[in-house]
Amino acid sequence: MNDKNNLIILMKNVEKIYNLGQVQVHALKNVNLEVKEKEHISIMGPSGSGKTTLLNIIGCLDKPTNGTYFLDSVNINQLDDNQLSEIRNKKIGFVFQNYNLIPQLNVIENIGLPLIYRGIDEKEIEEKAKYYANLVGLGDRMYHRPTELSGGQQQRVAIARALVNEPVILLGDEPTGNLDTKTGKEIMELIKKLNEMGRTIIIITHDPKIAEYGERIVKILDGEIIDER
Amino acid sequence: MKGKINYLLRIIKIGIKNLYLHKLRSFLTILGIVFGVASVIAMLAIGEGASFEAREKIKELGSQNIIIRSVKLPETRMTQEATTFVGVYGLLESDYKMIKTIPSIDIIVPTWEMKEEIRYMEKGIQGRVVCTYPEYKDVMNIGLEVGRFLTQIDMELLQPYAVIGYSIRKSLFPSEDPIGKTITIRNYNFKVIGVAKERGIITETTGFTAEDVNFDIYIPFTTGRSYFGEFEITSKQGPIMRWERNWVKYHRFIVKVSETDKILTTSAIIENILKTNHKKDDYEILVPLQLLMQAEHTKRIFNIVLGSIAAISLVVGGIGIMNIMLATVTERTREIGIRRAVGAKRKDIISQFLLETVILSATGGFIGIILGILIPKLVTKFAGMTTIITWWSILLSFTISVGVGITFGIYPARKAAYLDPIQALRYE
Repeated sequence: MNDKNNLIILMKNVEKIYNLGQVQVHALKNVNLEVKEKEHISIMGPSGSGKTTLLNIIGCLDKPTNGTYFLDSVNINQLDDNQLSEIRNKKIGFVFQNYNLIPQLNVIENIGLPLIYRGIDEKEIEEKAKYYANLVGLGDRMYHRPTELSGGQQQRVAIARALVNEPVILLGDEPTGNLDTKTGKEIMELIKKLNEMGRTIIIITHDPKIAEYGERIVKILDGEIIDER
Repeated sequence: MKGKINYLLRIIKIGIKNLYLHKLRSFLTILGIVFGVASVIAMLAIGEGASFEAREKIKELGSQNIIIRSVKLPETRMTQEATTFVGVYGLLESDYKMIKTIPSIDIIVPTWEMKEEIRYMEKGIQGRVVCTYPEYKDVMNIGLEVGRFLTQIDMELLQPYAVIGYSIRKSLFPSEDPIGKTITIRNYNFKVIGVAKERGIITETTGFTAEDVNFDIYIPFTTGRSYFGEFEITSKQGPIMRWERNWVKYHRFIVKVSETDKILTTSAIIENILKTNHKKDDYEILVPLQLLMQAEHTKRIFNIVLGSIAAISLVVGGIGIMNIMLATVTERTREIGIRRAVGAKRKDIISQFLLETVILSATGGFIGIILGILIPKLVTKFAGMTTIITWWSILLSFTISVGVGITFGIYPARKAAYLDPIQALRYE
């Protein structure tokens, strides 16, 4: 692995505070994080530690209350809802624990979903979706509905969907959480392969075995980064 | 631009797919709109048909005419001679002379009428004998099927000529040529010189007494006077056969006014003249134009009432759609979250849900149009009523149904678009 000088993520003193009526909850406190291009990072922490909040901010689903966040040299703090949507559409690929596929769409349509919000020609969307379906090993399942697929296959569809827009970063929120050990391993192997092909990857997990796939492990507890190696 | 169209086609496709996924629900949802639109079109078609009929009937009377008619009041009984009543009523010579001097009238055509049996050979039929002048043809717009109408010369020579109505010809001369044939009225012979074209029947509903001019028979006024005099004789039903003899100078005046906007003032002047000449209300002034205006007014009220009913039913339909769309939004919260996560903007979500609502309501509108065209056709077929489907009622109701879709779709669509994507993604 070389050429890791390009900074994809730069977070400085990021805080997230939720106002729950009278009570304020500090979900993130003083988080500093740098991620370079083509890195594979695992973020570890128990549930309620704020790792999902951190991932939501990285993925531009949420904005930090305080601090600065640059994604691919864009200052996220200053963007409105529309611009955040556009960033998600072009620079982020999400993989969720529960796959989050749309049940009434088939594999190809699910994979192509991010592209319809770019106004791309239907043929082109289909071509790209097919390419990524093959890449994740679902070449023979392209016209199946999610309900007709196994968990591992569904997660492959989700990964293909996360890749179809050629994002600068692939975010995984417990991508193996709903899968058995064997299938989970297969998925992690696929993610590892994608990293070797040049994808920048951030995975959050509470499973140390999964975290081991990362080149760097960031541990988070009570909203603070406590260890980084 | 191309991208926009691609995108639009895509979300239309998705919308149709989603609705098709819930066929029964979608169908039930649009029923309100279907019936709303169908009732608008159907009711307007029936209303339009009814007012068209009314207008046609009024036109038969001549929209530029004023018709003054003698009315026999119930108390018109002056002397009683054993089995005969003698009375006097109706329009007078002085009325005729005074009305004639009104400058705004073109012409005044008097008539004297009686109900009589008209006989030809062994056949007979009850008709209305109208003694009148040649100008009657023009003021009443009588067309001739065959032969000619009465002329000034017939008048001067007191010719025993008759022009018969369409229905009289049909029953007396079903297969013969009536021209030149001799018919009998109260033992007097008349030669048929013409047959009038068929005319619309004026029914009670339009605001005046029913009459069917197809049973009229026209003879020269002078001839009628010399044969029948000025006494109207009618038999009275009762335990003993009795006769009623009424002296009537004229039965009707048809007055043609020179200009349409002078009709109302002229009718007021006529009313004044008649008021001074008559002690009792034994006359009646009929202004077809006024009836026409009344008919238009009635139609307007009818349309407003229909419009309100239709508006209510469409609003109810719209609320039904909104209700279902709100349920759909809740049901599809996860999907909304996913779409937002992969980069859908709020306006993308709004367009998707709004479009679904509009597809629903437009489909409802479309089915409603088909039904709305079908219903009047059935009404015409089975109830024999005239119905007229106007293109604007179709356009209007379709526009409204799409409008209802947009109006009632905006709230659910906005609700969907403003969901927090993080929460939406976790929604179970």
